[in-house]
Parts: sequence; C-alpha cells; structure tokens
Amino acid sequence: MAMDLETKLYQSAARTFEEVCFLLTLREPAPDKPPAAEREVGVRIGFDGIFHGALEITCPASIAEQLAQAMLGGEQPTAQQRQDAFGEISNVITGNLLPAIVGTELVFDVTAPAVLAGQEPLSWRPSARVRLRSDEGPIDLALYIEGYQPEPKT
Amino acid sequence: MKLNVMVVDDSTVMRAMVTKSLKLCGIELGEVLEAGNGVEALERLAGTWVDLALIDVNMPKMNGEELLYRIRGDVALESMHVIVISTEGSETRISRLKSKGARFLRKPFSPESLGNQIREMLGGNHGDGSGNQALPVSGPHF
Repeated sequence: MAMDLETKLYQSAARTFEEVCFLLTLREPAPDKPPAAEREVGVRIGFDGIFHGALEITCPASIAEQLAQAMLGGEQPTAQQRQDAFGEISNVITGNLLPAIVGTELVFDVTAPAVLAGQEPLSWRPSARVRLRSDEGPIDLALYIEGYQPEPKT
Repeated sequence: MKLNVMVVDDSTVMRAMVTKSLKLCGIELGEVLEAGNGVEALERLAGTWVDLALIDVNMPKMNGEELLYRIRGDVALESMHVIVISTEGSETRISRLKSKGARFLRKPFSPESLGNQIREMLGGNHGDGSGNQALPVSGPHF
C-alpha cells in the first residue's frame, strides 16, 4: 500500500525535529485551520520540479525559541537566528519529504524559506496537513502541491 | 597543519552549527570564514586562501551547485576541497556535485561525520566506498 502524503509529511517532520532539535513530538489530528493564537511564528518554503508547491510550518514563538536554542547548543538566539532556525528546519523537512514522495532520481529546486507573516495565503487547498504536539504546544504543517498525482491506494 | 575553512550557507544558525561542529570534530583549524551565498563566497575567496569550503546548495543569489562550478572553473580555486552540506535528496544532483570533485554530507549531520569526511578527504586517495572522490591535497599549507 502506498504511504499517504500525510504519513510521509509526519515522518519527515517528526524525524527532523528529533534529529535537529532534540524535540520529541506526537502526531495528533490536525485542525482544518490552526487557531490564530497559535500562528505566532510561520515559515513557507517553495519547491519546483515534476510538480511545484510549498510547505508551511507554524508554531508558537516559544517553540521557535526552543528550536533555535537547541540548534545553537543552548545559546540564546537572536531574532534573526530564531527565524533562520525555523527556516532551516523547513529546509530539512522538505529535503527529506520530496524524495519520500517521488524517489531520489528527480531534481527539485527549493526556494529560500520566507517568513509567513505578511505573505498572501496560497489559493490551493493543502494536499496534506499534520499537527505535531510537543511539550511546548502544537506545530502545524501544511503541504501544498500542484500537479501531483498520488498513487491510488490499494 | 591548520586548515582554513569557509562555511557558505544563507542561514546564520546553520553557519553557527557547522562552525561549532568543525571545532568539535578534532580538526586543527586556522581561520574559519563565513559567506551567506555563492557571490559572497567568491568575493571572499578572491582575497584569502581557503583549504576547504563547506557549502550549502539552496542559497539566494548564487546556489551551491553554481558556486562549485565556478570554483572548479577558476585556476586559482580549482584544487580547493569542497564538501556540500545539504538537505538535497536527489541522487541525480548529488552525482552531478560529486562529478565535480565535491563530497556530500546530508543534513542533519553529526560533528563526527563531518570530521570523518574531512579526514578522508585530506587523507588522499583512500576510497571509503561512498562514491565520493578524493582530491589531491594542494595549496600553501600542504
């Protein structure tokens, strides 16, 4: 049975948070739209290849702070480092996710991660949405893909 | 024998992580320079001797793949050791990078794996079974 997109997104994200930031997470049902109060920090990273799309990650500021601190070995991050850390995590998740979806032969160009605040919302519906629960609160991931035909489930 | 290293990544946090890993992995370091993209890296390389460049792939202005091609196309830089540190998952692109004499280290990585890559690279033509190509050691420090 082909693994569905949400499972691939969940596995790529959970592994990244654990390996890069030592942050253990549990999967829980994703809301259709994350509550506004939880969308304090957000990043969007785009990709273009056999299909194109974007990954968006949002979480409370306290989690972004914790992630950056873990990546810096305990140092207090600056605002720029906090944003960069979150962007780097989105980069690693995307780097793990795309080969999980299409294999390792195809090449994708990945854009630089951008702060989500102030950007126009994407007009497409997310192809997959995952919520991870950490001690500090929820982390929401939304994967947008245009032009992708998933394998039919058997 | 101290190694001058340049870390090229658009993420300040990633540059800090790579630099910290370099210090932890037991390599004797000289100067550690940083650049935020390929353009900045080439500007800095024009004035400073660097033994090893650790470069990301996805960067604004000039990405790591183009930077690698520019390095290999410049007689003053072509013998520089290069390790690409990236989330890149495409074996097609990784093969292209390796064909230009770069080694590849996938993010996330450990200081130990970085140290091993550097030691293998500097150790000459000892195959490690990874398909990475060893380059001859060159430059004023060797």
